[in-house]
Amino acid sequence: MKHFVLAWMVLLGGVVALPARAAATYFTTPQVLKEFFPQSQRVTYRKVKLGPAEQAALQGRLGYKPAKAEYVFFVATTGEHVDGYALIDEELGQHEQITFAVKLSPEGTVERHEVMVYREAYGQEISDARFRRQFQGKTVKDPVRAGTDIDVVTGATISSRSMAVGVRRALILLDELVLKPDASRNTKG
Amino acid sequence: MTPSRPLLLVLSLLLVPLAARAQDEAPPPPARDTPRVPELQPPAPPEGPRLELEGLEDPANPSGTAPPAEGTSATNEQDTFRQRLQPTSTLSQRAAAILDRTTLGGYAEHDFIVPGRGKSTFRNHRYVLFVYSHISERISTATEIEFEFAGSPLKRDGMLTTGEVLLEFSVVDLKLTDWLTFRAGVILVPVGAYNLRHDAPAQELPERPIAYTTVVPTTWFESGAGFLGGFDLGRDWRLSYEAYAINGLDARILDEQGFRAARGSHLEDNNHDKALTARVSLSPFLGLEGAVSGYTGAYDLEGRRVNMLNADVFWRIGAWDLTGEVVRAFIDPGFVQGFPDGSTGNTRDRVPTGMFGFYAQANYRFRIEPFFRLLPDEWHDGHFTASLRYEEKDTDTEFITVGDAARLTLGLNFRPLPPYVLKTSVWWEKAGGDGLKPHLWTRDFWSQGHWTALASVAYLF
Repeated sequence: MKHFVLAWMVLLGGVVALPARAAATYFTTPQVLKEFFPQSQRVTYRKVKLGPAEQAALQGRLGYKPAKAEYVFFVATTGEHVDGYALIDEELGQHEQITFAVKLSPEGTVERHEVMVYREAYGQEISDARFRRQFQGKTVKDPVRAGTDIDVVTGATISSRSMAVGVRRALILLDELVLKPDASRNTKG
Repeated sequence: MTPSRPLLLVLSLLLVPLAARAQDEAPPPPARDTPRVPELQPPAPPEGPRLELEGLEDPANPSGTAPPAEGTSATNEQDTFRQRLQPTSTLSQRAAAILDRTTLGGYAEHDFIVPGRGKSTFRNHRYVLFVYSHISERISTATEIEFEFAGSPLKRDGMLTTGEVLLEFSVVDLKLTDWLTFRAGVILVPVGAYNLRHDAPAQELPERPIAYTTVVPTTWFESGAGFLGGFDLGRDWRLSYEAYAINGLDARILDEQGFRAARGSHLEDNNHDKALTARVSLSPFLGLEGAVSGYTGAYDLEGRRVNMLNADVFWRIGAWDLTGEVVRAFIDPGFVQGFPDGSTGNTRDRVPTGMFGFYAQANYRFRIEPFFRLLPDEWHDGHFTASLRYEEKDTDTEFITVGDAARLTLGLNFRPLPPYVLKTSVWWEKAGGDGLKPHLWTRDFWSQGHWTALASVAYLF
């Protein structure tokens, strides 16, 4: 009995001492921006409202109407040089929204993908590095489709697909709303 | 008897600094592409860009579902949780607090079966409701309530009989660390992958493998408790585990049915022995997973045991999914007995001394682009899947009986969206009732077998 009580005390004590992480909040907005652009001088943002022309163009490229009427692009700069862009967005998982962030190069290539908040009961494996790493190097020319060029996590098929849909949307949003208008402005100028 | 006071004092002195250390020491910010762990209060890096975000509504919290700001989420959730427990809180306040953290969902499957022998029928096969709830930050509960064949009463042979409404899965999880969660309740027994991932919308063929409804009696659930978790091993490898003590199988172990009638002891164990079951899986990269699992437990009052070993593998290569499992059960010789006097369970039938089964399945995903262009926008990412499965079961390895069966299944399904699938399949099956061991490669498999066709719709909501 004495040994049993002691064993329980050691077990409980050990459990108290273990650094448990329970909330599935991986990053807040400031944290993810500092993580994405540690070398940049500043990060600011650009809001783009979708007019009928933008909505029609996006629907044509995405295959569905974007959920928001306005998107926020974070822009990291050093001096006058644009270091990159970031987009924070949400996509429905099996039951709950998954908040994620995508870091894109000035040319619009995915450099990094992070799950910021995961609220589902299961499928948390999509926040593993080996799943997220698949998005690196993707451009608007890639399908970015679960089961085609993105391997899904076994047991988390729907969340995997949601992330593929979300990253593809980020690529197209940046291209359509930021890079294309900028290029057009530069050409005209 | 209690431990001596000096010993308790020493233990307390040892543990308090450890606990304090765990709370005080914040982990360093995660490096690029390292495995992620959720951060309760991660520190802001001391250097980095100047953030000029004034006037911006946090895009990570557009719907109010994400935590509002750094360091406040945990506090607010805990405050809400404490308020819920106040005796002055009203029922509606409690209900609102519970609903905020509860998810309702489920899945269902409806069949139409055309047997080569017998009559065709629609079957309302299963309707399963999920309830997931975060009781607190570290404690969550998940329950699946199944109505099989529309629940109870069930009309069979023209008479109303008892149907099935079951808690197939109902657990409460206490997350101790990222790699250690304590689970208690009605547990899915982790023997093989199929039992753990049996949800109909996740499967490509409408019918479960024959060995995995008998030798491993999917859905195999038992009351018990244990631990689960996973570790990253280096850059790509991942090891996951589940290990539980459960009431375990009783003595209703029969040829043909396998362990199906011996599972699910929620009210009482039939003996003092607690069965142990575990599964360890290793995944070297995304898309490949192999696992071994097992079960050991006494099935009667005399301590006769069932031991079971299972191996499973899943490999995704491009558009192909290759999966398979093999199971072998070793059973001490005995009889169906040991239930209370007068119980009809004491049939004294002989218990088989061994069982065996396996399946190997290939799924090929494909698209027919012109077809998908005709569909509504939201179905444009859909796909078809063609499946081929060969499987065998032997629920009594000593004799060749009707419990021996071999089956070859061909399936085609259409999945416009991941949570919705229309499945069709046809299978050819031969049982061992004629005394000949059925195998695909024997001539009587084709000459003595029979076909069945099955179509189903399965969806997740």
